[in-house]
Amino acid sequence: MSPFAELGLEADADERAIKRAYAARLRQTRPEDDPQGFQALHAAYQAALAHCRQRESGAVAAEAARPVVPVPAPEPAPVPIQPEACAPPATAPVPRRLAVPPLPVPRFELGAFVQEAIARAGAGDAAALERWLHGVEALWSLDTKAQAGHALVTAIYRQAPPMPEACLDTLLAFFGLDHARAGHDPLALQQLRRRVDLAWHLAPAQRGRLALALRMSERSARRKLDAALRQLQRPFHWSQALFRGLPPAFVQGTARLVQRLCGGHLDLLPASVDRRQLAFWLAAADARHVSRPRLALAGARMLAALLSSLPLGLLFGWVANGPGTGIDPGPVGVTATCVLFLGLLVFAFAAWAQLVRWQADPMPAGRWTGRIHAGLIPLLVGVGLAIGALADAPFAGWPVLLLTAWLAVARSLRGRAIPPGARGLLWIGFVLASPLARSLAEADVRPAWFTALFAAVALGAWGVDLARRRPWRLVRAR
Amino acid sequence: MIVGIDLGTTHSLIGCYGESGPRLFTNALGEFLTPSVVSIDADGHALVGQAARDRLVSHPHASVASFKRWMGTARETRLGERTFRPEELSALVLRSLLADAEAATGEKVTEAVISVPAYFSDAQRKATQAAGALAGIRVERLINEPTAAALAYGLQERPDGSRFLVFDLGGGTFDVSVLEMFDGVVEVHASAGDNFLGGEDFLDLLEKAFLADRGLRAQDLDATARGTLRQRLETAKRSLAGQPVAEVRVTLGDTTQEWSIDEARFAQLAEPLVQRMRAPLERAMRDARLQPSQLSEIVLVGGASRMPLVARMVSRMFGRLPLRHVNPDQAIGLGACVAAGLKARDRRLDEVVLTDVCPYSLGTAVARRDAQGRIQGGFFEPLIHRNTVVPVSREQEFLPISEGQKHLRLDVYQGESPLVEKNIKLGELEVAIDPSRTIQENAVAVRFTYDVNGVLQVEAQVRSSGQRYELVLEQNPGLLDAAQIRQRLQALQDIKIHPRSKQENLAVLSRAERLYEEYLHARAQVQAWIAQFRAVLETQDEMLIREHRLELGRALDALETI
Repeated sequence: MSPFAELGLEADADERAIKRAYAARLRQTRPEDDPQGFQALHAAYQAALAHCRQRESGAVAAEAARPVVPVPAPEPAPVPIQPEACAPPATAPVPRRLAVPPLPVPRFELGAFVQEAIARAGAGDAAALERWLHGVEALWSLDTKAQAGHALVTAIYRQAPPMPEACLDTLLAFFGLDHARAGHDPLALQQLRRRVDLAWHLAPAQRGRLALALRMSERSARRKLDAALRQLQRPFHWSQALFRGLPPAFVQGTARLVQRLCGGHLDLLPASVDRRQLAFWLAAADARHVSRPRLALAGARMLAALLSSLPLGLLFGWVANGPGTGIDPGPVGVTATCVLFLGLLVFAFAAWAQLVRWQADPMPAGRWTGRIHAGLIPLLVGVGLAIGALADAPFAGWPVLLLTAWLAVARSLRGRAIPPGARGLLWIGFVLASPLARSLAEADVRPAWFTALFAAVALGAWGVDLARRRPWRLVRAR
Repeated sequence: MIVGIDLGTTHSLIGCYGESGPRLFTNALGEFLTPSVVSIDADGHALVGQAARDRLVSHPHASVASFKRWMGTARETRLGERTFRPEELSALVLRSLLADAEAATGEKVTEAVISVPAYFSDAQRKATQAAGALAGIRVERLINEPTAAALAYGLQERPDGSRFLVFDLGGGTFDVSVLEMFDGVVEVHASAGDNFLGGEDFLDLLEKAFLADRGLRAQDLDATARGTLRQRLETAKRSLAGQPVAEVRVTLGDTTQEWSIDEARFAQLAEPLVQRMRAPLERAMRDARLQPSQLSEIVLVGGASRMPLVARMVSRMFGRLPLRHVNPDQAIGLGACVAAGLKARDRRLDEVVLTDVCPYSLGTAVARRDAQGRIQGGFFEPLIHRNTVVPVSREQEFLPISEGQKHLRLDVYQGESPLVEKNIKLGELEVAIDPSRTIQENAVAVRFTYDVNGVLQVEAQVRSSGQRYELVLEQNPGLLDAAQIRQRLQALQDIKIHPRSKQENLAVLSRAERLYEEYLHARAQVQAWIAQFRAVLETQDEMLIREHRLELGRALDALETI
């Protein structure tokens, strides 16, 4: 039923008629006697009023759209653009303008005011900002103040100008925009607050304050902070970034700084922080994933080690053969081989660590990767047993089985608090398992028992873990 | 009989809806305004009103004022032998007012409609109702003060089809309401306010300025000197409404201080308070979705609105002068009388229907998922927005955060901040959900219902199982429960208020005692008068006492005007 029908009116009833009908019905449906009836009546009344006002303002707008005399275009008024975080005004009835002459409002430059307010907020003194706002005479007028508040918030949402949290809160409170009904999405507002605050703290003038807040004001820490921020705020070049990232401490420090600044919400960082820099340093410090920055950095470090091994080799040659005997390729080759071997060892270890992490992580979403993730352990156990059987030497399969058992145990222990002592024992156990088993086997114990034991440990740990994680439930839920 | 009561921070009024409309009753001293001051004398009797107010100076440790500001808290005040909660102090004032009403009409009062600041919280409203219970009357309906003022103004002026703003600056609270009247309907569009902003704060400013100018500290003054000073400054504050400069002459200890303040300086001192009044005005206008040009009147009520700086502020904000032809002291009291008439279903008020709003937003705490899918908690989700017309009932659905969740806790909050930590928690409701179901199946429909008497009811229903939960709002630590009220009622009945017949004598005696403290040079004289009057009281000869009382009153008047 239309609100007009509910009030017993024709659809073209005017505001006066709506009010009269509402008043008449209200006497029969008093709010204290009939709460439900009253709610329905009031809702119909509000809807009819909104409808009526919309119609009226539409008529007025249509009339205004046909100017009889061409008039010069007015000054471009600030377009009331809703910032994207604003909730759309839900069927807000358009206030009806009465034909009352406008109030004598002091001249007021909206744009200049917004700029000045933002500049003063950027100065960082909330109390001074509030005093200034209180002193702006034009803002006493309710109309002007509402306009100014809207323009200011729109500008802040758009530009995210640097200002401390306290100043933003002062501005919002002064314009009455700090409460739940102001229509701003609280989450977006919270993000805006952190964004402008972060931008302010990252300005060079606030470096001392930032260092204090991060507890990095000690001299060496302060130098590191400056270096990391300088790096983050310059344009990205592979060569420069790789050079800068040679010391692992710098990579870790930079990534940790980013985490501490924005707590993982990278979009809160101001535009002055180069996004490619950000991506590079975060990926470089993330040991959980193999990524281009990580590989490139590893390559760069090896190259650097090789290059630095050259003079070392020369030195060895010089020491061994006496000065002035020319370059002996032998020592140079030996040092280079050592470096290469070490590098490969590091790569192998990194690959192994990556595999262990991958197994310990929750099951990936992909169909095949998911299956491989769940079934890798039995697969490897099978491979280990097959090697043992094919090589006809039970010891041959043991390394694979032991590594698989390690993988399975690591997988099942991931995310559990293990005392450091127990972790150490586990390591020693795995390292000693093979020689111990071998010596026991020589002392007349059948090797097949050990093969079975290793396989059982791997499969047992895998089974326990699988029962706990229940990946099939996830599969069904998807 | 149902009476209407304006229980104010500094003054209270009582009346009823009589033969010729709202009618206020006078107290034993023949005045409409009874100061909201309670004092306990040496034999444990309570004094209320002007006598108690005078005793603030002569017996500062046995007297108390402005206790409305502590309503809704558990603060206890020690007066003489025992301690009182703010509800009990208010109950003593109510008892005194009820005695005046019964003396005026000869009827027993059974029920009252009491006016409270529109911006009073749930706890403060409940405390006011408890005060009524402690005074032995039923208080079902509370009416918001600006609404009451509007009722009185509206029925007197009948401004049909107009919208107006009521600006109510009382002794301790500040309220703004935007209303519309048409065809007998009084519709409140929006209310806003500040519960800790009133005439008393302006007095504090004057006191601070005086002490600073004289190089004194508040702790240097004893309670009597402080009481004297405040009364003098109060007089000065009032006189600033009419004249540009106010002189203060006060004897503190054994020195006499002279001090003067002009309007300009007072306005400058009051600037921070004036700034605080802007926000509620703006908020009320915004919530009512009105432009200043759409208001036909701005009505000032409350004693403190007489200060010229208030009118100046209103004209700065609205671009016009406020209306001043209602009596700012009585408007709320008269409106409470009309509300009493409405409650009693007086036939002459058949045409009048009042719809009011809920001044606060009511809602629950929620977690939100940000752009990266992370859960962030502590956000306030209002179900009933402030300034919604009451009675109102709103329902909204909420989902558990994660799968396998066993409970869903609904925290009920009142307030305006988008973050719950800055709002007031009213209670919580725990809803058990089945962890084996999916999130969607475990949706919980939450319904908030807020009725005309300001009682909030929270219901929750689990969609899948149909299981219902209802919130019994947890007892606020600042409030008394029914059993405690009964127990306190017993205790309070032991405290007798002096009978009305004796109150005039007491008022004169208290005043003499105050002047004894204030006027050093006339101490001997005042003491002699007091002794003489006490001797006359002993005779119990009504005629003689009356004669002496009038004479003493004149003598005291003469002393005070010097």
